[in-house]
Amino acid sequence: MRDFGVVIEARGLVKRYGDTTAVDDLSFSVRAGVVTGFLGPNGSGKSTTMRMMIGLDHPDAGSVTIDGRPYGEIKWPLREVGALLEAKALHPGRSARNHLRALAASNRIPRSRVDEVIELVGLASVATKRAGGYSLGMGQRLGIAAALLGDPEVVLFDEPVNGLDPEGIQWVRELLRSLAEQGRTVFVSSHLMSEMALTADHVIVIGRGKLLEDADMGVMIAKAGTSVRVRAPEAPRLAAALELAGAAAHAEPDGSLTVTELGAAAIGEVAAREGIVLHELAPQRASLEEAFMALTKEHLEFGHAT
Amino acid sequence: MNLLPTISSEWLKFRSVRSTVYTLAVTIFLCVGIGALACFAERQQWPQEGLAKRALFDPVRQSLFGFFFAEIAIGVIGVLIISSEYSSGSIRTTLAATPRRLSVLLSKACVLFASTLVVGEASSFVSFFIGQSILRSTEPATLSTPGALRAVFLGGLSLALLALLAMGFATMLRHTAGAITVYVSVQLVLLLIVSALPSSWSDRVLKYLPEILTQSMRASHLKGAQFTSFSPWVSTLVLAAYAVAALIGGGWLLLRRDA
Repeated sequence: MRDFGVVIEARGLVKRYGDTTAVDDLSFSVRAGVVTGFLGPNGSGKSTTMRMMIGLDHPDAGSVTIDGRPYGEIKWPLREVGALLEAKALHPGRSARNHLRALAASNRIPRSRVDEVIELVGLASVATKRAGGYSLGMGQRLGIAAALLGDPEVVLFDEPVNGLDPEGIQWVRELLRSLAEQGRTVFVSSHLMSEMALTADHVIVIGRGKLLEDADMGVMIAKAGTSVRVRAPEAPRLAAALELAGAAAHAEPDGSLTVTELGAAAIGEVAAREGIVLHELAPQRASLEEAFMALTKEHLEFGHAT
Repeated sequence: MNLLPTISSEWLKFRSVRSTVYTLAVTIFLCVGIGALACFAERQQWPQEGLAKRALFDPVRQSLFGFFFAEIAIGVIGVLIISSEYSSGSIRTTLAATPRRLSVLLSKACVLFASTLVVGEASSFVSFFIGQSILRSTEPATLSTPGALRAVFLGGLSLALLALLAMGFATMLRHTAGAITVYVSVQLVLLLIVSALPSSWSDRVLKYLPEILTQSMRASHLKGAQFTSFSPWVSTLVLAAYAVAALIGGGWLLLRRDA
């Protein structure tokens, strides 16, 4: 994996809204050349953090720098940092082309680049239509076009696949990968671990504005751990025997046992020793989604009572 | 600080939205159309007017009568140039592209002032010439009539200053309907309230109201004025001070608030 060093550095970021602390002493760094996923449930402070990264919201404490300086000090920010914050953040009466032309003009980006990015995101056929009539997906593509307008070395995407059809989602994944392969810094937020598992090399997980995990994807997958599903007619006796052997056995409603802390081979040996008949002995790989849910469970702002 | 890229960006945004173009067209139409109507009515009335009334008559102001209505339309343009960014969320795109927020505000103000000045002066001169040709059977003015050129020019300028005032309100309030309400209240409702006060009070207060300031600006003489008012040039300065104050207030909040 390529690694071009740290580009974005957040130190002790705090953002409060009245009594609520949306971002709570958040520190992390983002490297170039990899896709860094920024993961957290809805309302965990991802968007607030990203708005602080580009100077839209003022932190109550802490700072965030891009290439060593605050965003506000970059002379032509669109040429260095491309941000997609929310879909359709544009005047409904303006066409995509005029929207992008105005952005290009503000950062002295050549006009020819506008048609290039329109082509790149596949909006050429609607580029002169009023943006008010765009679908969510088209708005998202236009937002991505705006982010790529200045050919920036750093891209920040907030939930880029929202509103996209499967083809669009695939396209965004490939775009993120290729941007990182070109050595750019790619920071992308999502509330779906499964989405991140497909694109991110590194994940930063937050819950209620606090940092919960900052690890490579491989480490996350390993941490998610494994369990073994066991079916036996004498399940309670097996469970007792397994627990004596140091495993944790949990009885499922369907009568099976979910065993952790002990591998499938060891479980089979315990069963043989005790003379217990096994009907099933199946190693399960816990999904990343479950690992993520477990990680954020106690931090869930809008948790369901399940 | 190089404002040119931001100004060209804001100019492109300003002219690429249909509502701007329509509202500017409505402004010209209101100025010219209602001005002509007022002059036509005065021409019909003229033979019955007494000598005293004729001596007080200001043909320039008569031909600029439509400005009273155009002031509302121009205020809407001033509000929308910034409030539409908040209602659509595009303010974030704008401020991400130009993090120096005062540059954004200043560029918007430049674009707004320049375009409303052109529209205001065009409305003013066209209204003047059409109005005077309608009034030819009375005592019409020419541009060389004392005070006429000043009144026509300041009339156009008053629209541009009001647009800036409205933009200042909208920058502070960040809300289209709210800003238009405040602007119309200041323009009209305040006038109604103050006029209803005892005259010893209203005489002191009225001259500070934007509507009275602009009436003074587009008068070639103040002989027929119903209220004591500042001279046209002083009125211009006071109105400009209001606009600058509103923009400074807006800029102060823009710097401090989250986008």
